[in-house]
Amino acid sequence: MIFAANYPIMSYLQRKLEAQPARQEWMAKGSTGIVLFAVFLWWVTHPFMEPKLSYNQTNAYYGFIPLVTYIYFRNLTPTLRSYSLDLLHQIGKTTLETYLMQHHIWLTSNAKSLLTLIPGWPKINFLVVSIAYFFLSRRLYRITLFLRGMLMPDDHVKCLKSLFAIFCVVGLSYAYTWTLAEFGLNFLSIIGFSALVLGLSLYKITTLKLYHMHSDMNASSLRPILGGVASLLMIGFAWRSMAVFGAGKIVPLPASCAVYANEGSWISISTCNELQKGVSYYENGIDGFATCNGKNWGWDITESSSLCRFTRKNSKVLKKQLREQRIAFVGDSITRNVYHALNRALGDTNAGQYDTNVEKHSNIKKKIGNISLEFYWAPYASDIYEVIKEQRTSKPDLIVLGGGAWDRLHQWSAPEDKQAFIDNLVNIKDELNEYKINGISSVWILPTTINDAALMSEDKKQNMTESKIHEVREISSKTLEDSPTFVLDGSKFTIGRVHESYDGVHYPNAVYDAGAQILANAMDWLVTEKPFEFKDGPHPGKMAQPLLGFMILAISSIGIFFFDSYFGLTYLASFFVRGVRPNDLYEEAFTPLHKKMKLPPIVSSQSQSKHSKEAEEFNTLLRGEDETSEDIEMTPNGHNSRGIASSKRRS
Amino acid sequence: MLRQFSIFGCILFFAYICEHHPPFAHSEKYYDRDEFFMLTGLLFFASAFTLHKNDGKVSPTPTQKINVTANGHEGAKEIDGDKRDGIAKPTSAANDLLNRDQTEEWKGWMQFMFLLYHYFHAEEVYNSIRIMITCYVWMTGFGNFSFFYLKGDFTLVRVLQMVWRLNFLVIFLCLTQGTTYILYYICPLHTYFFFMVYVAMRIAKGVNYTKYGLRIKLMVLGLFIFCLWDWKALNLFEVLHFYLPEHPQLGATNGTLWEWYFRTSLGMNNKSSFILELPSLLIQLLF
Repeated sequence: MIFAANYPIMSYLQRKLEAQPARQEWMAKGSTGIVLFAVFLWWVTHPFMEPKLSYNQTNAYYGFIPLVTYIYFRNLTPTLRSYSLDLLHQIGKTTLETYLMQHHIWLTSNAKSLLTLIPGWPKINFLVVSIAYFFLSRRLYRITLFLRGMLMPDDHVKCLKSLFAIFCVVGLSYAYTWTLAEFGLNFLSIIGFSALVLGLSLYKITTLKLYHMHSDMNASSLRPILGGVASLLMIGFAWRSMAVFGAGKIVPLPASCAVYANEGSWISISTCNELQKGVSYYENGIDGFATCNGKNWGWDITESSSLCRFTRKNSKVLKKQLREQRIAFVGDSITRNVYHALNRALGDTNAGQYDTNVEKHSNIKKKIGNISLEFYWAPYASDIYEVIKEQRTSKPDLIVLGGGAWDRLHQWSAPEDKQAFIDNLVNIKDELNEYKINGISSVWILPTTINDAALMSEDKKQNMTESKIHEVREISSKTLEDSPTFVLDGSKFTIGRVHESYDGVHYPNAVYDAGAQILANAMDWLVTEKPFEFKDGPHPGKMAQPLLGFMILAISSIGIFFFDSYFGLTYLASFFVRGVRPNDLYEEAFTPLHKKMKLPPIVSSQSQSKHSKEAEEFNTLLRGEDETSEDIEMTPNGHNSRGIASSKRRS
Repeated sequence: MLRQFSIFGCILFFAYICEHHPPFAHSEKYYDRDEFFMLTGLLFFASAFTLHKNDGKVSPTPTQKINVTANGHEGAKEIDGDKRDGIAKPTSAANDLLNRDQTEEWKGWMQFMFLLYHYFHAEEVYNSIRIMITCYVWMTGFGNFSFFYLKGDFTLVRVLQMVWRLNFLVIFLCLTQGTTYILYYICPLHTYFFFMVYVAMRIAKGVNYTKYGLRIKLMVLGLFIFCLWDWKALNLFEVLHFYLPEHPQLGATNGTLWEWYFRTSLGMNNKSSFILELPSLLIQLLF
């Protein structure tokens, strides 16, 4: 506003400077420019370099520096001022629409994800979606302006009337849909039917009205009605089919995704592309790769309508989801490895590192942030049963179990051993059902794939081969039935890397990470997020910086009372050119403007004679120009306010 | 008019489908620095070919074109000054300080950067984006001030037209998408600033055209802003914004269908970002 208040002076001053001999002009412009640029440089190197959060604190107070600098240099010479880039101009016209629509037809989920029309082609998709987005935004811009012209004309009564009508129509529709929803009648067919009735009556009314106005018009034909019905049907059909076959919003994975969660494979993705090369060049000082075929776990494509979008969960997301949960793992070394992998997924990068100082068969308790992660060593099915029976009283939020390999290896020779294993599983099953009744989910981990060739002892080669363990998996699945909420199938995410199992049973950490990610995805339906207690959020006043605010006030007052948009810097110019002190230019700059715009005349406080000649010149300069001052309006409402104003003035 | 409304409805329907029942799952943002700057460079390169000398007149807006046809059929009132057609445009409008073409251009490239930033979630340019939003809001203050100064038009019609322009689309988006107004924070922001300028210019409008009267008013506004945002002890902000709910979860209340619609969007993020946004932008308005 200060800039706007001083605008005529600045504009006039600039013209005046440009009327001077070139040397003087540039001395004057240069002196202001250099100081401005110096301040700008300070801003770039200091406040601007702050990290995001601390930058936010001061943006309000230093933001004017780049702003004013940009304006100054963008308008430095008449040539610079008289050219503009049309493409950017075009984009600039519809900023409001592009801002709003980006939330829904370019980005989605309130600007958190991207709209995808061509999956698997991110760049082509970007192009296609962007074209549709820009086209529709421009269309909306036109619609808004057109409807404003129709509904908000320059007439008080009409304006209020149509405003009232709009409120009525929207209010009635809203009330109607609310009633439908309230009574559970919000089926597509009912909505379609209401739309049909409304559409037909609207059509009838308009044709009747038109008929009265133009009595020579032909009687209404059937065609518009049929067209309307057809398009309604089409919309309804599109809606229905998209609802049934479309993908839906991003929501937590439903429990029905359990059948897909274990399905996927390890694929090698080459990182030896130019993009990665460039990144490592600048960030790691590496030029060229020796290895690049890292193996990565990925899930099989699922149908869009299944809503199963498995994705890697980073520690931030996972931490938020598991906030204040207590998760207990109970089982053998396979379970422990998954436990460590989940810790790694939560950001504890050292979890599960090889360390002979750590007792191998022991319990572990850990806390990552506010998440409790516990591991109970329970190699045999009977141990697992004991532990979970005991744990039930302390109510963990999720329990993850796994076993069977030890039973197969050590307690399998006699037929009653096998029966004992099954009995224990039945006990576990009953216990898990108890958990379920208490609202606690459970996960059962099936043993990972065995690498027969790598088994180290004769005993293991006898009793723990893949085919033997496979039998264990089948028995567990059959016995436990659906008592565990989710089954993490260890064989699925290890089979692709079976040759990497160094002792026949265990795998490198990276393999378990895939298992932890499967588990992390399943968390969507396994745990219920603890309600977030709204502790006092940021209160107004948090951003306050009274000192800087005071500085702004001081600078503003310079701008205001010295009539200088560049906050005093323009006075530098007056060392080089006489008679351009902004303070003195007030009347010269404003008088012709007021005259032209038929505003009240300037109340002259000083003698005007001194500058009257220059003012006269300026006046003649202005005389021809009709619209100058109007063109400075540039609120998002753009052209219209100017239009309104100009028609008003003429009338 | 009906036709425009139908098209409007179709676009809203398209947006609804894209949001709620897209053909394919929404994908995640991925920041590719190389691509981000390549596109930025491409934009400026492409724009360089559209360099043109400002002719001082704004190319006829779509509204004007529509009006020409609408006048014949439905008797719409001209709203965009058709009369200007044919009048020779003075040259100086094209090269004045901060002329219209220039500000549109400025808005254009800032908007492009802003959108690209959103699309790629390019957090490393956050500070630059922040300053661009600041500039954008500054333009609102500049434009509205100039308008009120030059035209002195404080009528209800003017206010309604402005509010319509700023809020028409957003209200229907809120209704069809089941989102909240605060989600599209730019709109309440601009509306808020519009009223701020309006009030500032309206009160004692008689002194607007005296040499120091206007300036004293501006200074008072500056002091007011200072008290509102920087003077914690006064708690003026809370007092004046008593109607803003302290607790962020305001929308998700009744009805099964609607509750489902309302499910997301609110959160404390939106609310707090609005609060954060306000002071940083408001001060700019002063300039």
